[in-house]
Amino acid sequence: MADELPAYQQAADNGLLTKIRSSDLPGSNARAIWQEANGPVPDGFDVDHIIQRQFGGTDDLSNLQLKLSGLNRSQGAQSMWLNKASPYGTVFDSVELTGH
Amino acid sequence: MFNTFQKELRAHGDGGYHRLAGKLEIDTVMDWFGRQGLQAPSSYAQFLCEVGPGSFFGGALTIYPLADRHGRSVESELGRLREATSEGIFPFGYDGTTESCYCFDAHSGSDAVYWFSWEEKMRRPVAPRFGEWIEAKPAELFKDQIYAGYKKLTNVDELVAVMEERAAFRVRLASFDRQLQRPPDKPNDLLPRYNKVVLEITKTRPVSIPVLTVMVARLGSKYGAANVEYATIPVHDMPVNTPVIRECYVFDPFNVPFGDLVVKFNPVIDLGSKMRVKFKELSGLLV
Repeated sequence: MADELPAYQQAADNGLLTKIRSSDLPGSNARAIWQEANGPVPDGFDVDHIIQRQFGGTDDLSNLQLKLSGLNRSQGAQSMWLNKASPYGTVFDSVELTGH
Repeated sequence: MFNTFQKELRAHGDGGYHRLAGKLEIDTVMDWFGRQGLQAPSSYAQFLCEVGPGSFFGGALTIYPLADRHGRSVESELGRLREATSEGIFPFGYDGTTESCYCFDAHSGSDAVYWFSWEEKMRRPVAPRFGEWIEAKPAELFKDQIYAGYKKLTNVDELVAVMEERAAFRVRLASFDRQLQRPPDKPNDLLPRYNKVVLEITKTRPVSIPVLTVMVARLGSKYGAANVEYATIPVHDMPVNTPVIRECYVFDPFNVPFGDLVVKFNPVIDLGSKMRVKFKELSGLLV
């Protein structure tokens, strides 16, 4: 999550960080989009959303990055601080890394 | 039962694009799920027996093995899933992204496919029936340009000729901008993800390749030697023996801090690597 913090802050600065309800999200096709635009995914890596979809991140290639396959799922847990108390539709104007 | 999927495996099943882990016996499947206190949907169990788990479409679909000491499996992901949620579901695969895993209801025996988001800790329905869902995957996921990195090459002489033309070039990194930015032709990108790189390129003899691909390594990052990207530069208009300055914007696929950026240019392309498709000067010869 620390690696993503500048991107989150930038998204917040631009009013793009919004809490979204899962059922409102379109299906993601992130790996296919990555492969189409940027070729094969190296072995041992997965495709990851920098700004998570639940916070307004899209499948835009610029919002995708490679993450080691074994390390990825903790991302969501670490970012949940942003998600817990706020109602859907909340636009976040600042971010802060906690839990470290 | 899985005719379309099997046909796809027969057509493109060699060389790693699809990696099959081996078919399972139905008794093994039923015993294993019984020991876990789970009810495997019959169509899914049948898939494990007729096709088996594996990584398909260059990693765009993984069907987990039941257990695996070294990688993800139903067993390993079930443990994580139970830590993350009390929903009665079990995972059976994922799509090569970090976002989620595919799941079934743990106890009903229904073969409705769900998508569990690791980020939100919620599931949502994907398809009412596993069989129809997985039979639709070949049409959805097969990509010619990705398969080109895996298939057997039959025109090696032509490929070697391209490498010989690549050998006519000398490439030197003139400078780079550490600040990630949006390229001029991508002003609407959500995030700035490119480093501006300036190269000095010299063509030492007349050749016909219109573009030249070089490797750009970002040194000193936590991903070490894996942190490389490929940049393709137009060279069709270059005079011979006159150094030319070319600017390009190099995508940063890993998005992590790095120490230095270097350009690695070797005329020889590793044809055994799936990354060969990143060399645009080969593209017409690979598909």
